[in-house]
Amino acid sequence: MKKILAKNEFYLFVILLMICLLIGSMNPVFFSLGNMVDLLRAAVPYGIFAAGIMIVIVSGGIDISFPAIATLSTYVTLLLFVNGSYEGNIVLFFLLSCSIGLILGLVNGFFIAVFDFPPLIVTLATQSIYYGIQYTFFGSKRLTFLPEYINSFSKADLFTAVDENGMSYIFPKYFFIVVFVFLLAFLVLRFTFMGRGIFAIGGSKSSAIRVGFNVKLLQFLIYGASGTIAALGGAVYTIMIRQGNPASLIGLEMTIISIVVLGGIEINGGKGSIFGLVLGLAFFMVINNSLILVGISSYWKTFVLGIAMYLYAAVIAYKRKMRNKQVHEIDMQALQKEGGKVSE
Amino acid sequence: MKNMKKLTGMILVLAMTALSVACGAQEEGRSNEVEVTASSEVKSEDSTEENTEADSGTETKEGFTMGVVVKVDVPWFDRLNEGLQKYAAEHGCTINLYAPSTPDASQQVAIIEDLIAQKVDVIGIVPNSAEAVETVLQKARDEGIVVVSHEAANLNNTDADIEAFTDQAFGEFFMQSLGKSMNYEGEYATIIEELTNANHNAWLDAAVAYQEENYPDMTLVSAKTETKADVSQAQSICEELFRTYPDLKGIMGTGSADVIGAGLAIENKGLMGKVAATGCTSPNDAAQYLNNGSISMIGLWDPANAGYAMCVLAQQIMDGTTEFSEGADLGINGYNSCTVRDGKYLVGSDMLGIFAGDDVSKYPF
Amino acid sequence: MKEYMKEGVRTDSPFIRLSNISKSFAGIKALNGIDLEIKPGRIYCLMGENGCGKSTLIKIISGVYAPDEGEIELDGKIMKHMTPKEAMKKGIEVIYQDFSVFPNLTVAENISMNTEMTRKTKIVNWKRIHSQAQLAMDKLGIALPLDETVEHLSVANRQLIAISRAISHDAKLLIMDEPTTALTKCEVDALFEIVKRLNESGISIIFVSHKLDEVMQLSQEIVIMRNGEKVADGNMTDFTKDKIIYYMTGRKLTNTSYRIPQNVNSKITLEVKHITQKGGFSDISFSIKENEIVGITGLLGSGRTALANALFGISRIDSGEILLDGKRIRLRNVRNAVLNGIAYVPEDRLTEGLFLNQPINQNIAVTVLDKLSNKIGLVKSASIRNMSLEWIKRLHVKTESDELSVHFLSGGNQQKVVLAKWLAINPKILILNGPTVGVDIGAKTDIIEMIKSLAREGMSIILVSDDVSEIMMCCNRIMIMRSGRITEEVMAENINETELYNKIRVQEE
Repeated sequence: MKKILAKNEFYLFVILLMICLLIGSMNPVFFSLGNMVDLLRAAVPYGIFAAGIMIVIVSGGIDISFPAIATLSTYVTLLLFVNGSYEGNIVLFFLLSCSIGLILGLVNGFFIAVFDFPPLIVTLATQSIYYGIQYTFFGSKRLTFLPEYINSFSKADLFTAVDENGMSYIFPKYFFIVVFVFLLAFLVLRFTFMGRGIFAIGGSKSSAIRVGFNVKLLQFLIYGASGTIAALGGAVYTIMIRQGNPASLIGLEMTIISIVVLGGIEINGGKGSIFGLVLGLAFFMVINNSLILVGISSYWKTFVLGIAMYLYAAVIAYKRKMRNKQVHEIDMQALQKEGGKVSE
Repeated sequence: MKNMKKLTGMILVLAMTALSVACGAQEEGRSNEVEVTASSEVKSEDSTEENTEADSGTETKEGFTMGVVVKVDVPWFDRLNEGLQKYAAEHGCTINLYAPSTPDASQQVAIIEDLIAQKVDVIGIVPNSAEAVETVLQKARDEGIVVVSHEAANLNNTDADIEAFTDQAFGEFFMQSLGKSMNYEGEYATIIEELTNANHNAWLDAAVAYQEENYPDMTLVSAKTETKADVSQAQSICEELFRTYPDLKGIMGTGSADVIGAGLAIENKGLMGKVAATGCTSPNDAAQYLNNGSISMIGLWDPANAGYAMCVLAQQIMDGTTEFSEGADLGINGYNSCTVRDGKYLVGSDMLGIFAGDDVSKYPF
Repeated sequence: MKEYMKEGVRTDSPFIRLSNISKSFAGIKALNGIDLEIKPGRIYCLMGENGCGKSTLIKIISGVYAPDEGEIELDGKIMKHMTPKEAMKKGIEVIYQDFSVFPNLTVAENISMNTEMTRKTKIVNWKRIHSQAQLAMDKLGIALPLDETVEHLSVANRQLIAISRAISHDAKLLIMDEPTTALTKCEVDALFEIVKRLNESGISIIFVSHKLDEVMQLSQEIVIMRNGEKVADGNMTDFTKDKIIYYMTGRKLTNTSYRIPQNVNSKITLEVKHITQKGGFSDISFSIKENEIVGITGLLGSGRTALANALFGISRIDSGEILLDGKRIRLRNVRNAVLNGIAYVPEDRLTEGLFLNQPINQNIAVTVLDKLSNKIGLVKSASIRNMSLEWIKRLHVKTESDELSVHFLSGGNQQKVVLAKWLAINPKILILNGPTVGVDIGAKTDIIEMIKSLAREGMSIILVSDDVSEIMMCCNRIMIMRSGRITEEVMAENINETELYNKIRVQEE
């Protein structure tokens, strides 16, 4: 119990629950199956992007080039399959897109690992380079006539429920992609030595080097993974909106980073869990997609979101303060015991 | 040693950035060339609605050279180029279209500088930001170049500006269509791409005012939810609207993301025929949703007509017109009787509605 | 392990032998012809002032640096190009001053990290991690919660984790770099207990320190370095305190306790009556005169730091009154205190006292910027420099330039900069909290002399510390705190170090 109380995730969960209850009491439709299905669907691209960024942030880095990577890799792949002679299929579409993303991510990793540049500066630079490549070589035309397999995957459902008003709720197949990414990230971070290495670097890079981690290689791989996941997110987003739109992900980095931070992931690295990320994502999605339900106009949206984030940050900070106090006391007790033992 | 390594790396990054910028500049020029030839081919096989004769005042300078700078390289402006080329073919002019790769004001400025250096007779401009091109356009006019503009009702340094319609008229146009689709009764909601966009706000305000005046059985239940020009976000918003207002019969959007998102939501929820969605987007973007009925109508203007009108304006100015008078006729569909403000800001009434079930492939832009 | 132990203790063949090791950096000789033997199962102490080459020597032993000249013989084999990994494999473990722990990971994971690393693990086995960690802690006879994250532990406990990690796979030589710097007295005792236990199981230990008392208490062998050379070594029993100081500094240092100068008529400057702060201290009353140095000591948590903070306005008192020169003052914040002529040199100079990335002169001038600025509020850089150069000279700050960033300075010199910063406001009352913590012996002497001369000039000084020798060297009067109260007050001339030490400890029983 004490252990649960100590976790950020617990507090986030409580706040989330309270907000849900509040919204639900204002409009019971919030708790309907349909609403949940739609929220889950809308969360898919955010979830994928956030998982990639979470890994980078846990390692003590940051990647703000991911919207550019997502845009460029998906767009190039689309161009090839739309205009090229090759028809392709959905698997190839994902594979090619992710491969390009991997390469673009490794470029980030190269500069960060080999030259030890600050990740913020490197990814800021590559963000504009990647967008630059997109616009100068591939243009900014929206691609609207996509191959049939993309449209049909976009519509493919796991199940569809129809309510009494004749409105259908489609639970899409592509939802499994985000489940897959979360599961993979969880397993890697929790149960592989490489994953623990990511936490180790985020906690203390110098200690990680002294203990013998190949920190450079790890960083290289982390940014590669981030690029790959970004491209996957971009591909899914394109499938969802059935449009190759090189402008629609611009500025997404801040949203995703806020989701990650809301998930209790320490922005300076070293701490965080997939469970927390899921909660942060849920928190964001609920706030972002319930304002119409409770009748709040768009003018107030960012304001409400800001207040919610502030409240959360305040709770975390307060909790940390209490925790430090408590720890101090524990230490004092332990210390006195130790002293006693020695003097025996 | 370590510092040395850092330095080299830093230089490398800088070099890469510089390179990509340089490539950009070069690439831009090249893609424009391609653009022009490609669309002049199109021009010969396809033409706008109605072939109208240009004004008969042909005694002075015939066959001028004109460079038209548009916002960005997208199919919309290919369509505008069709109008330009149609005029060029009829009157033996040389007209080139220049489209920057990104919707960026500084690239437009650079292209205009080039055109001034080339000493073209006319510069046409569809600015990304009117303020940003004022100075360079003033320079052009000082050099004796005629400047005509489109989508720039607040641009000072222009000899004549042509708008397809007033925001008022466009908003009412949407409401007439939405009203009809809803059988003039029931609940509807409006969504908007950016709350800060003055035109979008004006459209919606005019539409709602028109509804209150003329369609008393319709009710606005939710106004101006912002989609931030994100299709996915727009879809979520529309779905939330359906849940919150189960009797919702119509959604009026503004920009492309709004109406495409609404179309996706309606399709996703199987509400085709039950909920109507309207908004302003290009036929290409909306094609699949117009075809399956999830978007009921898109409203727009035909950029080809606007392009043609720009040429007519340029010719008339070179012929000596200094002030246009109310009801001016530019001899092209939609611009036969323009309203005029300050003698140089002309507004036509070229509203094009494409409805679910129409043959969208007639409008390939 | 047991086998090795018996063998190790008995044989005299060294575990590691360095012969004629030299190392230069950018032409400057850091080590010059060092010969050193480390025998199994002995506790060595490596002493020397900052910059004497101690850390370079450690890095050569642990394979981080390769020597320019000379030979390393490990377990009878001559090592060429020894890497840190090889050294680790051979059983050489270094516990750095920062412990190299991962604050964000659990105790169990931290302890098992090295073993898992050498195991070349791919998949994490949490059960194994826990059992390994438990095993290592059992060896040391300690019990820390396995699932607690390390950032929530005290410095002493982090150190125990570092030690557990080092011994979790067959360590034969454990090098500890300044392990006691951040520990309180009783934590140090606990640490020594553990070190002895490790030593009994056959592990050699190199203990790097400049705290004389501790070194003499613990070590069996001593190696003293100065300016990159080994100046003395041998059995600890052959060395006295004075001899060690002499070898380390190359000069004889005298430290006599402080007496208030005769023939001065000192007035009472600061007086506190029944001040209480909830959770900090209660019902504290005392007064201090000009020329006095009053020591406040007690164990961690006795309320000494809370009291110091309250006297400087960092935290507020809940009741009681504070009088300065007979007038009642309110200390609501630091600014109040500074305006009343109270200065404070905090305990943790790095986090509380200095702007590490700023040059020395800016750091010194920061308290008096308003005095150095002209009418329109612009600060003249020339006056900043003049003032700071004067203080650099007065306090013997060792630096090439006053424009150097503070973080390039050694601990002792950093502490001098903090002192200079507060002395610049010319305070009536100076509160010092552990002024010589983590400072080497030469600098310690400088600082203590400085404190004494300030008191002779008339300043009232309150010295808060748990370092008995520091208190004894400086103060003329000592107050002992326990559980937030002053329990005893003694004159320094009536007590010696051991007695004071016992008084502090006895209270705890």
